[in-house]
Amino acid sequence: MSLVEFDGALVMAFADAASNNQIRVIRNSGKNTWTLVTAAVLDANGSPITTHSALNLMPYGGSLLLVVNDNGGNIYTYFYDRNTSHWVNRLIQGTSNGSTKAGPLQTKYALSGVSFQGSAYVVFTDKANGAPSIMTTAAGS
Amino acid sequence: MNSTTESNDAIAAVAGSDAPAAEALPPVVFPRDRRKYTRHLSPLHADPGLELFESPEHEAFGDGLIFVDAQGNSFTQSPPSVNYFPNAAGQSFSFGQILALAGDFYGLPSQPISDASGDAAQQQRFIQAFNTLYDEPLVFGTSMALNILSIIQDQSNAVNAAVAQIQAAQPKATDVWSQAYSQTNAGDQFDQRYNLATGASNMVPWWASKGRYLQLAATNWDHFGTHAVATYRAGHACALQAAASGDYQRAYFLEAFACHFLTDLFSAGHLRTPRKTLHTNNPAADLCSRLMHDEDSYNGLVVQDNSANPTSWIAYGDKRLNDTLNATNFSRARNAVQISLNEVINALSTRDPSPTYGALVLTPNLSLVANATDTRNWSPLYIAVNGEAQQRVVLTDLRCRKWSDDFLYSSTYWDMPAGGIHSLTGAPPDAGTVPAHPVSWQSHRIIGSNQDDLAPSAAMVTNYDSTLTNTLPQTMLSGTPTPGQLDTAQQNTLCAVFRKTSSDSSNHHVHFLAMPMTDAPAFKVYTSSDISIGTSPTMTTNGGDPAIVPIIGGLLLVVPGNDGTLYQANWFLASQTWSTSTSNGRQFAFNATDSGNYKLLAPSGGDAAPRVAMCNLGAPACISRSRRARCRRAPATSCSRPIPVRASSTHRGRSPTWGRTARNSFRKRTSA
Repeated sequence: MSLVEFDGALVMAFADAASNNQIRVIRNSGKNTWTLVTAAVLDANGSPITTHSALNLMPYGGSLLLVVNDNGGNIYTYFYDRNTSHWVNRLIQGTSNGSTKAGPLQTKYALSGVSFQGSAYVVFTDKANGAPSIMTTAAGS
Repeated sequence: MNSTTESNDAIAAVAGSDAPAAEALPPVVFPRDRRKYTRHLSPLHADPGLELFESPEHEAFGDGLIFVDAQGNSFTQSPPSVNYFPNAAGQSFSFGQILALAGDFYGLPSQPISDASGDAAQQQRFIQAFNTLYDEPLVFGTSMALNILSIIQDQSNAVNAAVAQIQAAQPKATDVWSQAYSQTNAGDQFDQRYNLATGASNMVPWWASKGRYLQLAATNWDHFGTHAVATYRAGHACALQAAASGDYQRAYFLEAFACHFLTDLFSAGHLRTPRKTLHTNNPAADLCSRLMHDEDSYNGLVVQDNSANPTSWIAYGDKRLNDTLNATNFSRARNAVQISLNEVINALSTRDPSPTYGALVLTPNLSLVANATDTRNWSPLYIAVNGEAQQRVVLTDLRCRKWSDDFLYSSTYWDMPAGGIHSLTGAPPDAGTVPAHPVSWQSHRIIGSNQDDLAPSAAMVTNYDSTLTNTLPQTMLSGTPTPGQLDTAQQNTLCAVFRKTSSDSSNHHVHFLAMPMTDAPAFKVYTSSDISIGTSPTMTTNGGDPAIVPIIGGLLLVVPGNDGTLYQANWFLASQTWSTSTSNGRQFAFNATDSGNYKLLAPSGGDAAPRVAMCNLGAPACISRSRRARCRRAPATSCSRPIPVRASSTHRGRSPTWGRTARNSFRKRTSA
């Protein structure tokens, strides 16, 4: 599960064991009650994605990013569209170990992210080499 | 209503002298780690001002306009020869070229037109500014203007090439032109060339010598809001007077010069930025005005025209003129220019110099767009209240609608990414549906081994300046931070804990890494340490992933132990050690104080302990004085809806320090 403060509320995403580990997103805006934001985060085909609890919320670009390692080992970035209340997904493409060739970034394990000075940093175990790594939106020098 | 509207009368900012390109002392520039910028963010310009529609964008406004000559024959500017309008010295320009040169390259830096009192005085200043271009001679067949136009053409060519590449790589991107302009000027190369072409010496750094380009940019509030309206009105009135006298070529020349300021009124970054308020004796204030300008330009603003039956549309700004999302705004801007031009044509025909300003009906209503509480738009970075700037409390939160006068321009410049905060959609809050472009990631390994280091948890810890005093317990805080320093890479450490599993999976140690953000974004390969709380290494179970959250100057760790119990520990950046508050070295989570400050959001106990997640409810306002952290402390009062949060007794002691000494010592007015 992952919990962040965003837009004056606490927002939590978690894999719901009662629903085959589909991802639910809830928020608490101050009355000690949690309201449902998203019953199930969907993939591009409209099917609920499932995860072994490997997900992370982080503020980015004035919005929320949900980074998910799905049960297939793929890492996705979900962007919350307030208008449609949907999470728009993008398979994370990136470069590993300084490679210049972008490809899907994958992991088998949990991942954890933070925002710093407008960029996102996600610590994860990169399936490409099995080593803890940091993927970031910050441009390299 | 919070208003960002500023008037000339209320503002004390003044322009400097027009001394030609003096080798002035370099401005106070705060070095920044350029590596942190995401590639789609605008490049850093290490100098005040520079808020302009890109020059090729300005030039584009001249395309397709319809003119009428002295004989009443209509004509358009058709390639290959489009330069129909000669200046007094015989140089010929197109309408778009004059429009692009006006104000940004030609004018009097010490005499902003809108600063003059009354129509006549403003028109007089407009003519003086206009004459810097109109009277410029050709010398041996060349001139400053021709050099500038050559650079504009180079920039246009470079941007067009970049657009083709970006469109091929990101066919669904909606901010292609913005990306292209940013990429092609990433090293400030065009700004350097423009500066040199307008009289600067070739120095390092390039902005140490100021050509007229930089001098004009430093006092360019004529291009913003009500100042732009006043400047356009002055110039348009002059054009009408020339037309009424029958001098149609001078009339069009004047009109093109005036239309620069008219078209600025269709650039989102020019609508609510309190540019003049942000021109103080602190150069960082000018830099911050650029941040707001760039942020609004990229994110766009929902605007409404000034007609009796107003129409709403979304205006984007500089670098985005040609983006598809801006098509409506661009079209309205061109219509406004044609309407303005038609009034000049009418004056040519009627010989009536009476001023009419029909184009201003089409421009965005400045009063409405200045409503900072309008949730159709992102929160403005600055608002002007009684001539004083107030800054968005949470810099990085585009939804935060609280502003404060307790800030440091220099600190803001440190905190903010270049280009301001770009919304993911590249659109106003309710307008965007998809990200403006794919989020681009890079991955770098941080551990040398290739396996068994699993499931990391990360947190950012802020360091402190230990040379200063504070009122907090030394065990919690080793010093009082210096404002403006806390959000720098040098003052922050990215920490990660993870589960290190033995090769036979028989045991699982909890390991820890502390990575200085000066290593970002590529970082390097580190050696992790085994967390030992007490005398023994801390062990967990298969699946018992640890979790950390930042606390004051350190971390709070919660980990499911291999005995089925949740444990907690603290790590302090200053001492680089782990500890607990109990003597036996390990402690059941949570103790009485922490249970009030943190929420543990997972079942506890059991060998198959699930991953834990925590939320730090009480802090870390005291960790950092930055506005970002302050909102974390009290989202209920700082941003929007209330959240019941319990104040930490540990944190309360910090307030007096910042509430008095530091605030008074470092207020923005005294910083330079």
